[in-house]
Amino acid sequence: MQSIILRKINWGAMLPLIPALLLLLVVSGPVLAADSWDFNYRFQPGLLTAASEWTPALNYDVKISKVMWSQPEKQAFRKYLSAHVASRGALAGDADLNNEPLLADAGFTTAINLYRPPIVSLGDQPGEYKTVEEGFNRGRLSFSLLAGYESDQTLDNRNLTGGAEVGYVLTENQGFKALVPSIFVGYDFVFNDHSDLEQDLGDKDDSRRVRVFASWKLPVGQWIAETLGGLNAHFDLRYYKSDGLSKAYRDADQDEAVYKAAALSYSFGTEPLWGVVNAVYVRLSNGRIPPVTNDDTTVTVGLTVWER
Amino acid sequence: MRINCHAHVFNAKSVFTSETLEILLRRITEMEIPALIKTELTDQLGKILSKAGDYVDEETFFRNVVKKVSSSKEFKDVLKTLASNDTLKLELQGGAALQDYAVEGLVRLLEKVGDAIGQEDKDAAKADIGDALAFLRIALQPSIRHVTDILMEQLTLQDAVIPLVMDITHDGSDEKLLEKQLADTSAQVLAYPGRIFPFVAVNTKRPEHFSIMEAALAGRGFVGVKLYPSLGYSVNSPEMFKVYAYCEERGVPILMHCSEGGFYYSDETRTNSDPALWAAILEKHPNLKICFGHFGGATYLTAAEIPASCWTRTILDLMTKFNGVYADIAYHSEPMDGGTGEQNYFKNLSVLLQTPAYRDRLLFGTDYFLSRQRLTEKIYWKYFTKHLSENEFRQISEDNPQRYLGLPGETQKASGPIANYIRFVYQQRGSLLSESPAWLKNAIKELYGPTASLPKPSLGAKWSWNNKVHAYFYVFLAEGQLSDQQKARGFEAVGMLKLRDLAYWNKGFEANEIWNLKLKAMAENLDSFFCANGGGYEKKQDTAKAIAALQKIFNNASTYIHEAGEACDAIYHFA
Repeated sequence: MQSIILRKINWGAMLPLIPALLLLLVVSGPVLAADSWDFNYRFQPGLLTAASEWTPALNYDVKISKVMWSQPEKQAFRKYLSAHVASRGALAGDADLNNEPLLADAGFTTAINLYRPPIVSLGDQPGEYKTVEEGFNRGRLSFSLLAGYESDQTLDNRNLTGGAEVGYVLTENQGFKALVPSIFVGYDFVFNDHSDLEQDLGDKDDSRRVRVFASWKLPVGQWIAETLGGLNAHFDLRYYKSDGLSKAYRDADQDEAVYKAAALSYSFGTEPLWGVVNAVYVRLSNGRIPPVTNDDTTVTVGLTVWER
Repeated sequence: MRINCHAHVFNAKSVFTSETLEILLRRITEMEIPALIKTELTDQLGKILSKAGDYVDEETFFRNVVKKVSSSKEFKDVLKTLASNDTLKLELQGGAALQDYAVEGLVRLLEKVGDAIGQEDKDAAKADIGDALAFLRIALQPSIRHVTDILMEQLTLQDAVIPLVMDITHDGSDEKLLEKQLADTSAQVLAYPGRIFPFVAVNTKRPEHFSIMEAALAGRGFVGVKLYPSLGYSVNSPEMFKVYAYCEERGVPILMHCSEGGFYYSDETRTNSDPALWAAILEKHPNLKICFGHFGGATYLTAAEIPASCWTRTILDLMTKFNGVYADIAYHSEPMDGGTGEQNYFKNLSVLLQTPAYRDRLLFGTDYFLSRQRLTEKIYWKYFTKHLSENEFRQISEDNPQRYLGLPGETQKASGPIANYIRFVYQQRGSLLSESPAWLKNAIKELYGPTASLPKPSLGAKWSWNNKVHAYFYVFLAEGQLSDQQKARGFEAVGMLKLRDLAYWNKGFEANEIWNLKLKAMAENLDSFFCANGGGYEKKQDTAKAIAALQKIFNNASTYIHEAGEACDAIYHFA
């Protein structure tokens, strides 16, 4: 087994990444030593499959961030400004099979939390409490300015990017709040650094792209019957649009993508079905999420079983 | 299973009314403790309980009593008689030092004060101040759960208890108070399933007494009815006959206070508990199961012969005529004084236990925690197991209670109220807090089929309301993350839900960009909530680390809420 895996690794394609990784570690070393910076990382080995072939891969996500300014935590409208440097992606043994981009970005994020914690007085009985001062939760708004560099693993296609992201999320869904969507909008300028693909297509334009996402979670079970409390409906809308891509992309209808999904999920809570099924969902989706190129209508059924 | 057929788990707060205050204070004035301390105890208790609904803080209570007593002229006179190096004298020099004492220290100090005064107090026949304070400490426990826990800790896993609800009311206008007492007592069935068999109180001064009783017996885990007519109502009223008819038809056992002591509304109402009143009632309802609490009073059993005319004799006569008449030996502390009284008591009891007409009708009971005025629950059990033969004790603590309650066994099926009890436990199985005994597990299989079982209960310290991080975490979730149905299942059951069951959970059903922002929002909100409510960070934790850790916690669907609570406990603390 080991020899098969080793054979699958395209060592040549890995070589250019080694200096980059070393550089990252060297640069981050002193930063990590300082307490005021936050260092988060995740490395996850796995297998990557594409075109009926597979290759060993390492997913990584490294982020160094610092809160530059923040307002007190105990009050309403908590807000902050932070800076970060991050890199994420997947390194595959066979770079040709890797269709996930390698991303690196740096930026500033500011956010305001439209939340005021209620002040409560605990009662004697478990679950008993009095609200001394009412609070509210009207969601969280964030705005980011980002500059980055993205590449595929073979380094054949590389872009410089710059843009902004706006997000609004609401973590509650009781009453009318269920109708309020969580929204994310991202707008990037893409400056083509090098692209074998675009060169082959006889074009090398810079482009702009926008991503607009919205999602809802409706507690329909609670609305229907007390016994159906674990039933939820989920709606997921995503829109991608690129402007300025080569004509070949536009002709292939690849400059715009829409994805729509509706799902019903049911959690069995403290009493798994037949003692083994913890949760179940069924999802109907239509469209595509780039880099997938074909629009599809898909029905997915999922089960969570034997959860501890 | 050994059963204590006569106990109480209410606390002072749960039965508090202006009526209760008067009755409780009267009870304290009857204690054999020095007058000075008695005055201060009743004074402080009156002050504390008059703030109805507020938390009754035993530490403040005892601190105030010690402060008052130690600063009184009478006590200062007593102090003068003590040697200059007396430890009590040294301890009480400078009232500010009292602030350093925790409850245990204060109670110990008060006992010493009581002993010192007792030597001078001609009225104090016996300075049992320690027992009186221990009794008050239980009464001042913050909840029924606390009182129950103190009781159950003194018993083995094979022991069970019948807690009797008290309804001390003038006109029933305090219905919320009774409702809370019933709800909290019902919750003890789930805390100790199969080991707590509560009786609901009927007091005809409360207009809704019948519907309250019906509801409690039908679906709240209550299995019997408690009567306390000396609180000011008659056992011969039409309302009561309606209750008897209901109980007789369904096999619901009744327990009535039947001694001349205890709580009473006025001297005249003491005789409302006279067992002689029951001859006529039982003629009309011969199959009624009625237990006369305290057996008419222990005094009559400490005589060489049980007198021909006394409440105990009346009860024995009723036993010979009616098969459903029982009596319990709760709060029989008189024999514990020793001497001939003790010898007579156990001789009389043994004779009764050898007489076929009475053998099957005597029940064991302690009157916890009212009996704590004299001795602990554990010592009460020990005393009777020592003085009765093994067979005799089994008869009164196992065989007879099983028949009286209608528990399923080799010779009988579950009675109606016990069948309702089994259904209640099974329906509430998600909220059980401890392991059920074998009889209950078997009964559930019999009722619901061989595959029916109870889930593994009890999270213990892993998810405890006494842990403020857990409690505040629960409140945070209750304020926007839990549905009304989830909240209705109670704190303990919520601990067994998973993060997937919360409102924010939508991972996999929305873009990662949105999900990541939601994790940040959840982490920030919880951090704000903890900090705003007095929480602080544990050592080596700060806001940034806390937010990062909380995001990780909130990112896992399969994490139990109690596990998330434990994880929060590693980050935050409350003073």
